[in-house]
Amino acid sequence: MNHQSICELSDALSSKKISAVELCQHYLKRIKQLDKTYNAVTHIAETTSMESAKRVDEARAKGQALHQLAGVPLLVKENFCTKDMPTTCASKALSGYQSPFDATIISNCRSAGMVMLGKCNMDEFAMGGSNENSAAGAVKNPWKTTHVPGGSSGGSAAAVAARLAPAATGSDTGGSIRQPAGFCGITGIKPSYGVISRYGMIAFASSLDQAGPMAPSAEDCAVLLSTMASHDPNNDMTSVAQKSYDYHSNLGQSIRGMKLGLPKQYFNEFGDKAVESAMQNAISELEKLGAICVEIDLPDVKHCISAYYTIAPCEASSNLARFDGNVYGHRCQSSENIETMYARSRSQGFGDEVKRRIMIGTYALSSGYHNDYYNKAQNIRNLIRHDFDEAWSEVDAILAPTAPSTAFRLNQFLDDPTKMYQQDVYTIPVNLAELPALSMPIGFVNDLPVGLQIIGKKWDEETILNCAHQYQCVTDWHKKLPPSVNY
Amino acid sequence: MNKSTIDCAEIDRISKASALELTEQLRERLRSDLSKMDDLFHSMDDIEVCPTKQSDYTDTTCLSLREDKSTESPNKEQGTCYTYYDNETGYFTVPKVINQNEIE
Repeated sequence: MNHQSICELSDALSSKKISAVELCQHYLKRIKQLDKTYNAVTHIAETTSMESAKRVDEARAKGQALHQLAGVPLLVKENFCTKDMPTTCASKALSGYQSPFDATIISNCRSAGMVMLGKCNMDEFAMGGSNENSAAGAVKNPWKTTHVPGGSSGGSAAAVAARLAPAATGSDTGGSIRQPAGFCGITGIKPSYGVISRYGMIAFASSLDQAGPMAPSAEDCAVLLSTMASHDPNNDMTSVAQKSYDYHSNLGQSIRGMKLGLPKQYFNEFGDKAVESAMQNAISELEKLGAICVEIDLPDVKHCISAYYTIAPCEASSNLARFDGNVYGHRCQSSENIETMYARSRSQGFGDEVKRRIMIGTYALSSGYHNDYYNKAQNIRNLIRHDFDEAWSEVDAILAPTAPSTAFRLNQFLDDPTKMYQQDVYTIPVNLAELPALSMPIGFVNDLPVGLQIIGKKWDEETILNCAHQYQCVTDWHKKLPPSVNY
Repeated sequence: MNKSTIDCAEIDRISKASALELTEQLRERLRSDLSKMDDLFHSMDDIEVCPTKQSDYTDTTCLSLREDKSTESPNKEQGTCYTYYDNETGYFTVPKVINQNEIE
């Protein structure tokens, strides 16, 4: 069962080879047995998941027409509001918080009959690239437990890699779906900004945050994205109506003649030779399928770190101002007045990385610095968008590394956060330009997975999903399981 | 732009604006981290943003805000353009939509 794709599980459910209850029990058992090692799951919804699964089985027994994903289990990242499970963002600041409503992405999945198994660990408020900044403790990579799973959707990635669930939700502000997908050997897509409603996804940096699916294969991600995406004008002004929400039907298209761009800034100066070799093999495989790879120039992407680490903390500083202990979340025991109550509650609730980013954002937005920093960063963001716009006149999609290396060791970068920030260099430009991009597994270096990004034109998720699917039709990297979980 | 000094006083100013209480240890660590971030911010100084590529952020998001001070009420001449402006009192009046006699 662990080797079956979501489409195969769906077929097994609809042909009644397996029931939704049996499938749910299978994954709940795996979570209980395996997650002690990985710490990927923060909440197990044993009762409610079994109830949902039972309802699906009853509806199927009555012959009701069901959605393709009815009965398929799903794990949910901790930053999506769920009315029947806690939503803590892996922070003490929201310890015990239970939302009165479901995020739109969650209600879409529930409407399809998906079974919510529980919530996944993450970097606190999605701030981090290693899943070490979590009040629920660090997550470990199922391929090597001495290494990080990436972040901030590290819990989701580790859970899918260990097949604690066939799929999970993730969110991506600067690479938080793609980098952990790359580190854990699964597939994850960040759609264009506006494809999935942000309603009920607790905001980190509002102009960059976007939700997306994480699953073993591109085909799985396509089916999930078709369900998760929707136009939600009443709740989220950034959601944009799409011509179609079917990302799955056209996956069989040949990629013969498709032009793929290789940015010289990424491939000519790549440091890790072993990872580079894996990427060259993947590029050769895509060329065998008929794709035409050409060098392109993205001259301004080198400025992405400074622009991103100005814009994102500024927006975070503003978004996280609401967590003051007054309405919800942690409140300190004693305080002299309301100002000290706010400050003390926040200081006790937030972890160090969140405090650091709030401080960076407040500093950059301070009187006298706003124009110099925030506005300049927005201008650089425009330069990066412009680079991609120029590239689209030459190519249909762009290939890029997912990360500078494979998963790094736990604690490797904790002493110097600015070095940790440099790890996001290949994923950040996509968020700044609001483009869709996915990461897929393309090989291994020292028993750790290597990921490759495929970046698409805005609103063109179909092309990159099809390209990844074609690659996965002739390779089996996405089917590999960590040895310790392969039973 | 001139490089600013991130000293303890600056950290205190920022932490107060952020509504955060910092321990001595974290305060010192953040001073070091913010200095590194300041270098990152200043790396943007040399990036040329030519006029054609200017962000539309300022135009669309940061609209000019009016000065935050009290002003006099519109004078009688200005008031004539408003349908319900009463030139005698200087107030707006709302016309009756229901005739009180009919209710009685």
